[in-house]
Amino acid sequence: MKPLPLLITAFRGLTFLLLAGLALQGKAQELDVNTIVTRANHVAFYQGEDGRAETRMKIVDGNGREQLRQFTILRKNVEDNGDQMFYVFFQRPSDVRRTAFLVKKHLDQDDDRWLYLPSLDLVKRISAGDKRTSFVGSDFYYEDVSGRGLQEDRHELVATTDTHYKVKNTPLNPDAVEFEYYLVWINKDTFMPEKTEYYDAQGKMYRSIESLQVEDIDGFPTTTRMKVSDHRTAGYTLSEMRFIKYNIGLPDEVFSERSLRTPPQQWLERPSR
Amino acid sequence: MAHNIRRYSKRRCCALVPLTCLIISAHGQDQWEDWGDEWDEPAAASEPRFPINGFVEATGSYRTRDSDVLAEEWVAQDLRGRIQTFYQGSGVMLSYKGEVFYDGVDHELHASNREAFVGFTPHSAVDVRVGRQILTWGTGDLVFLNDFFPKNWVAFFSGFDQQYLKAPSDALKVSGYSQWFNLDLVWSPEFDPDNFITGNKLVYFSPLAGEVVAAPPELQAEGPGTNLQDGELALRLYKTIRGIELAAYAYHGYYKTPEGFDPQRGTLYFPELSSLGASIRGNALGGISNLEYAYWDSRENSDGENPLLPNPESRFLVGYERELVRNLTASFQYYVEYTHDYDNLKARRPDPAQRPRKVRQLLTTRWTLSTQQSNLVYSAFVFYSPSDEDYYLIPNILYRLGDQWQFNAGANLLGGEHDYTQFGQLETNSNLYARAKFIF
Repeated sequence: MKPLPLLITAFRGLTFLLLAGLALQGKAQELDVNTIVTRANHVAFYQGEDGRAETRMKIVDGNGREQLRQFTILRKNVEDNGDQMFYVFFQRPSDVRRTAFLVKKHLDQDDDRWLYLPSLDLVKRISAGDKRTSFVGSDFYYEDVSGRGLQEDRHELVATTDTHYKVKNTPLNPDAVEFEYYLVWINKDTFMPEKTEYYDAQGKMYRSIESLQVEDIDGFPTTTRMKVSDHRTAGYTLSEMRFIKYNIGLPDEVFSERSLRTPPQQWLERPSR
Repeated sequence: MAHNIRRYSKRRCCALVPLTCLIISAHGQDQWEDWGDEWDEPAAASEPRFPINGFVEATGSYRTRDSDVLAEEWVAQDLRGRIQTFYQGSGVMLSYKGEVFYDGVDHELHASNREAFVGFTPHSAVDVRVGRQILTWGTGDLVFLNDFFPKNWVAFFSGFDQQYLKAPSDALKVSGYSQWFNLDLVWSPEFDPDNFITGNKLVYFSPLAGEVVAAPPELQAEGPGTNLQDGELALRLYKTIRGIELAAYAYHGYYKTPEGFDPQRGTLYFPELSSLGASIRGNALGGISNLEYAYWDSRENSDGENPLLPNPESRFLVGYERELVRNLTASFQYYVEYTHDYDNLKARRPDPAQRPRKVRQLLTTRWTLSTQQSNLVYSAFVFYSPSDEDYYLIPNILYRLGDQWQFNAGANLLGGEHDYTQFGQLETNSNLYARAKFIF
């Protein structure tokens, strides 16, 4: 299984971008594309010092068959727009209950990833691997959750509307990815990336990610509903986040082997608000 | 705050993402409602207090080679039900996993408790877990140097789910955490041997008989006493520094399989064993690399003078794993068992069939191809020993149908040049297996 939480954070960040965009609308026209994507990246993945969220996913394949995933995510920034730590604790489906996933995301080297399998009491180290593979069997990719390095693509501002920046992103290393390019619609007010479309070599859009609901949480615009669609198989995944809280004061120790084997209950409990 | 929410929503639907609006109207809100459960506003915890789950699993395993000593064609016919629950709250953790299973080969019904433990945190830097629990550590993949927790080899060679390779321990585990290092101390008051091959359903090479044998009689072995000092102690010190995992291990107990022979009583038994080891694991060369070492001190035969007991050994492991292309992961291990004081052993056991190699080498590789979003997974694990000239191949196909059904089909294919090597002796245990699991 691969981690979902990063995705969530990313989309949260996107939401924030949207809001920020609103506030800065007057100046927005003058922003260059690097500033836009940097702020979008922040909104999608880095809001607050840390945070927690409960996520569930409904994975629907091309034949209409459904699978569910439910898990709690804890995130802490090591540095803003830099390294991050994630801990994911699975509740559903029942055969993966108590499975836990730990990621230390690094910008300048491979991520450190561990998976805990409770049926074997096994802490398994997972190779960093291709980040464009299914996260926990869903249509989300690992990279959708953890973020894609800004330096991996060439960014072009191809259109500016009243509400959005439309940015075209072309990979510097096309052999490493399955897409030819992707388009992102970034909200000018919040800098939230609200829609992403991936195109193949024939110029056909085959995959999309949409932010379907944005809420203000602890002052941060946060995407709470998302949809990833695979237009080739007609499969899709809905993701919903609840019980989100930012700046909860997560200690570094939570992101450790101890938490894999013994879930950190204090931080997994729902906030009372 | 509510006002803000509405504003974002409005902007989104009206102007920003027309496609989004189309999708919402196409699928309707009920897509977001029907999750098959309640997911209500703040409850005390993120899951039910005592969730009851489990599964029913059928396993069938059919022998592919005729055995001269065992007429039974089925290695396993097993139908089992599992009930499990888990509680975490108020600083206490409880886990229970129980199974009832019908063995269709022996026509027997059994029940077992796989997990039944209480965990608590008496101090912020200490976790305690007491009771029946599954325990694992070390860096090897199906190769164990410093993990002396009990294994169920019968289940492993018979095509059962790989979780059954690990058998439970009745133990007290104390874990301590500090900024310098972390510590796990496991005390098993009563020796937990491996579930080893006894000749029932699976054959093995008997050094006493000099050939491959089956039950009856089942292989019997004399366990250590049940006094407190006859238990097992296992220790691990570990620390992760910038993603590099360092660990040191110690064990004081017994060989987990009956490696010793007591000529006075004419029985096999579990000789005393102590071990010291270390491991390191981290990202390297675009994948994961690991190194592990262990020195096994056969305490009753430290100088290798007694041919009826194992000699001390050094065990080395080096491993590497990486994703080669998208969804295809490969791993490789090179493992060596070096027998100390080999000349003494050789002099007293001239027949090579009656003694281990001085250097036993083992190569393993695991290939995993994940397709259909991990719903269809092809995998193969291969053991090959150039020194023993034997092999063990485990191909497997896993198919997940929704969250509730899992199907596995595969094989345990064993063989070798000699009938006394680790895998060569198991050649006629080779089998094809299939499993179906319904999860609730």
